[in-house]
Amino acid sequence: MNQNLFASFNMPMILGIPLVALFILFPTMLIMPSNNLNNNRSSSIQQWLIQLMLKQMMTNHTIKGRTWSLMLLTLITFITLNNLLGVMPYAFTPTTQLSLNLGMAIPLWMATVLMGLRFKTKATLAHLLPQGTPIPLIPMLIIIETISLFIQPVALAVRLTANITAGHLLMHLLGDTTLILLSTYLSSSVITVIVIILLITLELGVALIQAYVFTLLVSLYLHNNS
Amino acid sequence: MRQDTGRCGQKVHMLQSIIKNVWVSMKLYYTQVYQDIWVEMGMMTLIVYIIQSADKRSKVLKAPVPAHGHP
Repeated sequence: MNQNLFASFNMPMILGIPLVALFILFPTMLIMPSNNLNNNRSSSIQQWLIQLMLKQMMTNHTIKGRTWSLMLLTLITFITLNNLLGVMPYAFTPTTQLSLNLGMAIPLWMATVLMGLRFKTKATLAHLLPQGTPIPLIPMLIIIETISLFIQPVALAVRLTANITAGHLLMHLLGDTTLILLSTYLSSSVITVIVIILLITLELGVALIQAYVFTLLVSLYLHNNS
Repeated sequence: MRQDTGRCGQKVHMLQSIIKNVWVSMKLYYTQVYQDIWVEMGMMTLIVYIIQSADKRSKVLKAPVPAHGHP
């Protein structure tokens, strides 16, 4: 049993060596690439899911934007697998760490902005001023749009961190409550067990949705800049 | 034919398989498509380094100063 509520968010260590690389690389072992045309069931399901995600995300992109297909597919697969593996009890979820999420969000966002400035400079700078703005408001609005541009990667990272962390905290709290209630009020513990089951279902949904939202927003920034 | 299975041979073999499996298939991505991402990864590394060195400097400044005459 965890000693405190936040023990599961600490980086697991063996002999003082952090296992962060192991946890980040572990989901890649679950994806099985194959060179066959006809595969077994699990590989076929994986291929079908990848085709579904590709069609969903990349249909509206230009040719330049579609060069990022591999990156965006990898991103959604990585975040989904990490989130789903973290729903298991006592599992460490790398996506609860703000450092990892900022490490994903900032390079991807800035790369899209750089791409826009490099290939479509006028259009990218024009995005800083909405159409039809009254002239006296122009300086103020440019400042506001620039601030909103720089907040995008922070919002991306914090959204993912906060959602996953909040869900895990709730599960821990309810789990501890159930354990305490088991020895005192058994009937109330039945209610908390039902709530935990519902919460785990919600957490599974949140894990998938947050991965999709993260990738969709990066794809949107790419679309705006390509 | 004598097979070089010593440490050096294993490392060369590993490098060859990395080049064949990773670099050859991903060369276009790493050199053309992800140019902006490499630049931003470099900038982020610089930002992390600046923040870490500032943190170390502030910790050194906050550390208690030893009394005069004591090491």
